[in-house]
Parts: sequence; structure tokens; C-alpha cells
Amino acid sequence: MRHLKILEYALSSLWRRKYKNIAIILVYTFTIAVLASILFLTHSLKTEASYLLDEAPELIVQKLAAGRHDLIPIDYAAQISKLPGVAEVRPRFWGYYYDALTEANYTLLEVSSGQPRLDMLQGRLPSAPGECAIGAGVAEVRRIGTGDDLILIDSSNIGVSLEVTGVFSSKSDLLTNDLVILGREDLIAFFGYPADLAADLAVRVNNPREVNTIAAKIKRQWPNSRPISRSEILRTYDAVFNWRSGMMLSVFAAALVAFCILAWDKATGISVEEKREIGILKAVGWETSNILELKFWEGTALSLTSLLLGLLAAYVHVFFLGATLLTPVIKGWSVLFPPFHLIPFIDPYQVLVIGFLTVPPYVVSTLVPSWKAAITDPETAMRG
Amino acid sequence: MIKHRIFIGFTLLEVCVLGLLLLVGQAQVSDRSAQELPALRTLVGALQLTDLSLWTEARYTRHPSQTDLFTPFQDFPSALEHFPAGSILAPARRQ
Amino acid sequence: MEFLIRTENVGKIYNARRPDEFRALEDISLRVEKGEVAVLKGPSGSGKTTLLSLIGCMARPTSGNIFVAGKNVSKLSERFLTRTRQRTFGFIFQQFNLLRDVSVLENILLPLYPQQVRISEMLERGRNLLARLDMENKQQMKISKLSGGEQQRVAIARALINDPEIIIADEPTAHLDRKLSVDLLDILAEINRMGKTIIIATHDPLVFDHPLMTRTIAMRDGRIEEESE
Repeated sequence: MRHLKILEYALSSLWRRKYKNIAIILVYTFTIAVLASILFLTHSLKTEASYLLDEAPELIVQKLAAGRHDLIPIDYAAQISKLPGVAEVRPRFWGYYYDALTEANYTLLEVSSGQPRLDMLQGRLPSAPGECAIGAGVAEVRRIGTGDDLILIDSSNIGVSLEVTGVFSSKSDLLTNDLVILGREDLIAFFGYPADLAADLAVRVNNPREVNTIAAKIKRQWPNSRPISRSEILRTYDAVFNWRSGMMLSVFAAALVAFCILAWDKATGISVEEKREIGILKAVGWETSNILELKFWEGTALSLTSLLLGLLAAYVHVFFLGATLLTPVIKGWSVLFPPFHLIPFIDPYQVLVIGFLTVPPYVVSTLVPSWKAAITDPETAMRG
Repeated sequence: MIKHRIFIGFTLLEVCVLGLLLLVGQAQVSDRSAQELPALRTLVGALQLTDLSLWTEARYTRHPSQTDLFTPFQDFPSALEHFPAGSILAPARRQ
Repeated sequence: MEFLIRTENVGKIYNARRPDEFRALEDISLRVEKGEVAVLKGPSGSGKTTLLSLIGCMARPTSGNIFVAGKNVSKLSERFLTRTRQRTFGFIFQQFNLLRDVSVLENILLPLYPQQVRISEMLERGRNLLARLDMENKQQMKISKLSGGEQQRVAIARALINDPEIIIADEPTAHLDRKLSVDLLDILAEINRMGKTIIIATHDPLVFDHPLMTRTIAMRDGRIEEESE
């Protein structure tokens, strides 16, 4: 009962300075929403990436020349397939295309015939020369669909017309947004690949646990090669979406600094008016513990409200609105950037951490400056 | 003197809405994991994809997992990073 | 006879054993009976406020004993001192010490918040007091909007909210004009008729010469100079 009454008094006290406190709640909620948005976004992308890229090739072998990625001789494939534990080696042909018309970069990929039907493709994969399947981003930026023609300029500066046989569903944007899939012969002719070279080799192994051993063998036998395992691919995306790196960290840090300024402003002192109020409360019979409880409720009411509103705002922003406010920050110069339809993977540990980082420090920064006034004896308070 | 009731009620409401969103989110995770993810994984396997199609500015931002350490410095050894997405990406990890 | 308030050789030293040591009170022995109106008179610095704060359980004496309703309060811990103060005393301060941006009713109820009293009972007590002091229609008004006399009545109502046995008033007329001072004394007289004991510290002759006073204690330099009934 006493606690509820002190809470009541705390709320009245906050309401008396309503404009200032509403401003604090707004700023604090916004800060928490930004922090939480980044954490939700990165965790969701990281989780989705780890699910999807689990089907990436087990081992990719690149060739390096002067430290740079170079085209790899196709007959390496036959030699690598003789290594014990290797099930299959497939040369891959792919490359980048800069579309001057839209200033966008596409990734051109070849696919072999005989693929199973893909649920994420509206239409079909190319099965004959002069056909292609495109990602939803390419379709949108070029304003074409199934049945239309995609015209690209090949390596000999000649226009090539490809009939679009399928467009990938926007549900697969995260994987296919900028893709243009061609038949192998078309892609080789388009980029002018030399007859005996490929972009890299995809290796499938019999026992996934032997991948690293086989990679080491390949590296030893072909010192100018660079094997990349699936676990390295997954680790890359782990690092990319780690909020502790890169621009995410900058945005995160900016929000944290804003919060620290807020807390510091509170912690550096209470106003004359507040000191007088505490003195009067002591004079009329409030104990030190009652005053501290009052300040505790004041700090908790503001910070808890801001935390809950911030988390709600972040959830809606990331999982209902596709993180539209963060997109300009993350997108960079990409012309084609997939809209986010994120699956709401949430790490409860992160939510707890946000809670611990935001509520207790604010409560402490409200309590500490009031401490001295709270422990004043009533006699001093009585003298006014 | 009902401010404390309003505050407690409002806080409980926020907690409930948040809890509801998290529960709905969980249901969505199960749903979409069952419906979309298998099809997407098939896509990755069929096309042998190695990277997400996120940042299409440069080669090393489009395929960060395939990039060597030198590509970001492709113009010159001490060239500064000029693609914004490059500062979002952490450099490739060594084993 | 058991006196309501009794002090035995009470002394109070501030900043003991330091260069700025100050003896506020020395060897104070006095008695106040139940139902009396006692006045501590003396110039500024004579120790009146210090003595009031010791009797009112706001602080402990450095030496001597203070008995309130037979209980020795000189050695109580802060918690029990506060409880005794809450139950036994009501205070009217020199500058009223009201919260200016807070309503009349909330100001009056301030002492009750940290006590185990239900909200409904708090409100009932507050409204009853306001009715007796003719302030019922102003209960939601902010203190800053009240006149001096109205603020005075709010301060008195707050002192009475716990239904204490003893009312302590420290220089209650210091910031009042003559008319308001007379009004205040009338209200104190009525409170006394309710059976409350009153102790007033003042250097205002209007107060210490008033017929309401049943015991006068003259103080100077921290000592009792003279006592008369």
C-alpha cells in the first residue's frame, strides 16, 4: 500500500514537469528504438543467412594470381576429383555486369540444365540459348517481365537480346535480387571466357567433416589456389551482421552516446526546487528510504516506459516496415537493394541486454544526485 | 489518486502487446521456416549461391565470402574505402 | 504528575571537537503539561528552533534526556524517532514549507504517503480537515494561487492530518501581517480547545503576550533565562 502511494506521488511529481519528462521519454524511446532496431535487424539477417547458406557449395576453389582472384583452368577439376574424399567437382561460370542504362550492377550466373522446378521462380530457368531468368530487382529496374527481352552489351561491345523465361519471386530477394541466369554457353560467349578457364570450381565431398582436410590438400598441391569452405562463408556473414562491426557499430555507438549524455545530465545534480521538495518531505515525516523509493519510482517509470515503447517501435519498424529508416544507412551506393521481408528471429538475450543497459543506469542516475538531499536530517530541512 | 493505476495498467498493456508480438513472431518463424526457407535453401543449392544479394556496389561487397583481402584495395594498396557498404562489412576472417 | 514533555539537562553541540564547534543549547530542563500552550521566547540565535527540533524528534540531543509522553526519545534510532515524530507531532514551519506547484489537498496529505493508510482514508481525512478550515472548495487549487491566509490554513491542516497530540510551530507569524497573525492565534486557540498541546517558538510580542499562552519560557544564548506560567 505504501509503495503504491509513493508511486502515485512519483507519477504526480513527473506530471508536474510534464513537458520536460515527455521530451525525455521521446528522446529515450527513440534512442532505444534505434539500438533495438539494429540488434533485431542484424540478428534476423544473420540467422536467415546461416539457414540459407547452409546449402552453399561445400568447397569453392579459386585461383589467385598476384594475390588477386584469377580464372581457374578447368582441368584442375579432373585432378581435384581424383583426391580421396572428393565426390564431384563442377566448374562455375559467373561474373559481374554494369548496366549503364540503370547504373546498376548485376551478377550473371550460369545454371546447368536439368534443374528441379524451383518454387521461388515464376516461370522457368533458361533451357535454350538466348533465354534468361532474372531477379525481381532486375525486373523492376528494367521494367520487364516474363516474355520480355533483356538487352545487355557483351564483352565485344555487341548487344545481346535474351528472352526472359522466368522472374524470381520477391520472397527470394535476399538471394536473387540482382541475378541474371543464363545458359552456360550463353554466359561463356557473353563474357568471352577463354575455352579452358572457369571462374572457380565447386567441390562436393563425401564426408562433410573432411572438408578442411581436403581444402588443405588442395592448397598444398596447388599453392596458387584458394579454397573457401562453407563454414568460412557462414563465418563471413556472422561477422558482416555482427553489430560490433562497421557502420552498425557507428550507429549503435551514436545512440549509446546520446543516452550517456542524457544520463550524465541527470546525474550531475538536482535543481534547487527538487532539493527544497525533498527537504519538505523529510520535514513532514518522510524517511530517507521513502525519498529514495520515490526517486526510484521516478527513474523507473520513465525508463521502463521508454524501454517498452522503444522495443515495440523497433519491432514494428524492423518486422512490419522492413527497417525502412535504417535502409538508407545500410544501402550505401547500391542501386539494387532488396526490400526486407525479415523473419522475426529474436535473440531474447539481446532484449535482456538492452533492458539492463537502459533501465538500471537511468534509475541510478536519478537516485544518486538525490542521495545527499535525501540523507539530510529533518532539522536542517526544517530550518529551510 | 488514480495515476498509479493508469501507469500500471499502461505498462501491463505494453508488456502484453510486446509479448503478443513476440508470440506472433514465433508463430511466423515456424510458419515461414516451414514454408519459405526450404524453397530458398533449394534455390541456394540449385544455383550454387555463396552470398546474399545485398550490396551490389562493388565485387567485394556483393560477394564478401568470396573476396580476398586485397580486393577492397583494388585501385591502389593504400586506397581509402570509398564504397559506403564497405564500412558496414567487417573484413574477411582468416581461419 | 506525568508531564507530556519533559527535558532534563539537555544540551546540543554542533560540529563537536572541530574549530567551528557551536553550543546551541546548554542545560535545558523544562516541562510542558498536556493541554498547555507553551511559548519559547527570545531573540534570534537563542536556541529556540534547536530546542523545538529536539522536542519534536527531528534530531537527538548531545547530552541530557527528553521524555515525550513518558518515553525517552533521546536515544531512539532514526526509524523509531521518525515514527514517534509522525504519530505525536504536527509541525507548522516558519515559511509554511508548502509545495507551490502542488494542490492544496496533496500538500495536506504529504505526511500520510509513507504511512500504512489506505488512499480512501487519506482522502477522507484530508477533505474533512479542509471542510473544518473552510477550504473545501479550494482543494484542487495550486498553492501558488492562494493568499497568505489561505496558505497558513493549509500549513495548519497539514500539521493536523495525523491527528497528533502535540503541535509545534516555529515562528508562525514571521511572514504574516497583524491581521493574519491574529487569525493564526485564533486557529491555534481552537486547536488547543480540541485538546492538543501546542509549543510555539517566537520573538513576536503579539504571540508571547497573548492570553492563550499558559507557559512562557524565555531563552538567551542557549539557556533558559526565565520560566513563568
